[in-house]
Amino acid sequence: MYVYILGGFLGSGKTTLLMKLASMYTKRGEKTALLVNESGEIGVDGATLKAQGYDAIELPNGCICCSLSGTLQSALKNIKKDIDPDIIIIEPTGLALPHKVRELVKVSMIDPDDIFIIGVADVQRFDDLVKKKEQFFKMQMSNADFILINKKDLARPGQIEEVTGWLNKEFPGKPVEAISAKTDENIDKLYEMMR
Amino acid sequence: MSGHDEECHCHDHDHEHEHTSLDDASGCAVGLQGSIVGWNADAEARMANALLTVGKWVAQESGCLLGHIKAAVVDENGAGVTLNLTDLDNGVEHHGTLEPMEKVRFAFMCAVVDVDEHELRHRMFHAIDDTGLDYELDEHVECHCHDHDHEHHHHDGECHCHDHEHEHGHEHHHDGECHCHDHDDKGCCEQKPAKEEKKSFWSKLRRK
Repeated sequence: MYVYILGGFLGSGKTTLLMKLASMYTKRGEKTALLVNESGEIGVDGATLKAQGYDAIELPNGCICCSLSGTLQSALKNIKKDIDPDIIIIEPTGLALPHKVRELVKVSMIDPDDIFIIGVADVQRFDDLVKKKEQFFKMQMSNADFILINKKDLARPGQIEEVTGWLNKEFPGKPVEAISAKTDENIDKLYEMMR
Repeated sequence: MSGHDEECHCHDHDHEHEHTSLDDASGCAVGLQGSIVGWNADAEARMANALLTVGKWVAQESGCLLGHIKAAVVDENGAGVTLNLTDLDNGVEHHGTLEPMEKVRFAFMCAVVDVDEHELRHRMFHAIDDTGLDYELDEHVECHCHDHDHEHHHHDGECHCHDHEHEHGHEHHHDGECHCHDHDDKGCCEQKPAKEEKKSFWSKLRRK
């Protein structure tokens, strides 16, 4: 069993990516469990996924990297016991720190073969994000196994190169790929990177 | 006394706030949910406008819209439409469809940074209210600044805003402080000087 954690700031396209990955694994015949977390007491992502035909386990009203850490571990154990999936995809809130989620998965006794963090960066709001929340964004991306620059379809000319350059400078050696989860641009490259 | 050890614990929770990643990002998340009577394309456009109104306020308040404003409107089977605002230039994205129907459920959620959570809740409430939709919230929203509006918040035409107060006497938290235990043991808290009311949107409205 492999566990994927989608880490990225609010509105970076994690839920759209989650749906793409779920479809891809389902087509491959892999049993996939989805776990979505939202900070607010009212979850919308679960309804979004259900409306699009996906079933997901929702953990609202807190953050699985901190205030809901125990809930995450219980949920993972139940998923392992009840579904025993090949793949678990976890979408934490956009204000979560994915490396903390990885640590919690490691000690949750579900014994995964491996755990990956996919960093998701929104190209369209990258400048604002770095300007206002650079440190937090760096914390989110720092332990990613690879980083996706999402919303390629909305990038202005030269912006992908700028953002790639920034990420390469801050995180040398980390694979970076520009995609659009919405329009499927370069999505095949992403699928090749997945187990 | 509320504590078994005969000590006052009224304010203990104020000091036990767990530091979260939300704090690291200066973020907040607020959700409202309820039902809407008379769902159709016009209602969907009005709902989208509520998201946009809140998004504009967040952008004005914090300098830019860094966050996620979204809503799901679903039928009794959980199928429906989701509205999504992450960028004001892009506008509200609509995903899925929902046929016109008598009654639907909705969830309206904002997770953003650098704004006051109470004011955000207030703005969301008024954004919904200003749509003109025939809606009802599951949970009472702690805003009485526009009491005259109450008539159309309730499908039965009656105001139930204070029903729960009559049962257990809880105060609302306009000032962001907990007054839950004020009524049952004033003695233990009398020693504490009253905190100056936060100069928030609430107090501004109340002064009017």
